[in-house]
Amino acid sequence: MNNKNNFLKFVFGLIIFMFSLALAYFVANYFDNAEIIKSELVWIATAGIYVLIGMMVYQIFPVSLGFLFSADVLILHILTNNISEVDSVYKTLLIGFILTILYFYAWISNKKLIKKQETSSTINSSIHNNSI
Amino acid sequence: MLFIWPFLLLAFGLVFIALGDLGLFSFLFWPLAIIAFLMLVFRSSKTNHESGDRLTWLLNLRSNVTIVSIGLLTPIFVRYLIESLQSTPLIGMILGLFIGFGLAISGLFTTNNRTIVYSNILGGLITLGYVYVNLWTLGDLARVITASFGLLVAVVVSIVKLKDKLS
Repeated sequence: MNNKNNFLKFVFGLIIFMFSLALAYFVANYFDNAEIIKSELVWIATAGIYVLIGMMVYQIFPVSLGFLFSADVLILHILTNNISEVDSVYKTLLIGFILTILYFYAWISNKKLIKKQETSSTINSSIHNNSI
Repeated sequence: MLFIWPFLLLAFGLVFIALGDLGLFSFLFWPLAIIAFLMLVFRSSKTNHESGDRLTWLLNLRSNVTIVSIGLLTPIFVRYLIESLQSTPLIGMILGLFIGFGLAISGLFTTNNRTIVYSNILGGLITLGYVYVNLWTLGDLARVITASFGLLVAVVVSIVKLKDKLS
């Protein structure tokens, strides 16, 4: 039952990811072809909206992750096309910001890993004691 | 903590975009990024066989992705820092040297945090390699200063690390 639920969560997350991505690209193409707004501006706006939606619906994590991964793809696409035109100072700031968050995460996650290892070693030792 | 995944993938993708921007693997960085990610997945699942736990596997995978991202983003950060300090390249190089040595040494002396140990050592060593290779353009004095600084750091670290074993 649990496996079935996980599979459903994965499928719904994937569907939301694909449709949200398709919507972003189609809207961007539509505005670009009609010469209203440049497609990259639409991608930036859509990525921002997706991040907001993803954060708002954080309790339903397949939906949230679907939107957040779509925003990831859009941001990476924008960066791929434009990173060579960005000034080095802004690139330094961007990478510095990403590194700061990664270090913060590494510091936090290690605490969790140690806690988990301690719990599993306690369980193992209690099982060992019981079997003895 | 589940929501760290989109951010980790963003950071991992940014590594390859930045490498492409620097002219490395620019034409095949997406396939390379996917291959690197799959390698990390298989490596994490290999270590998982010992514990047999899916949560541990996910924690290991996240830790490995973080190590690679930090390890490769640090030298890229130093490279952009030197580029943005173009008018005073020597100051950029000295900053790079401090960051490289600082990270490598903190990696050597950190205990109980595998992710920070490996990412600091990897990032520090690549940064130092990059800084030392680029020193050749700055003249003799810069080379003398950095070589003596490197020697001093190596001697101090060796003494501190090996003090118990040698005495």
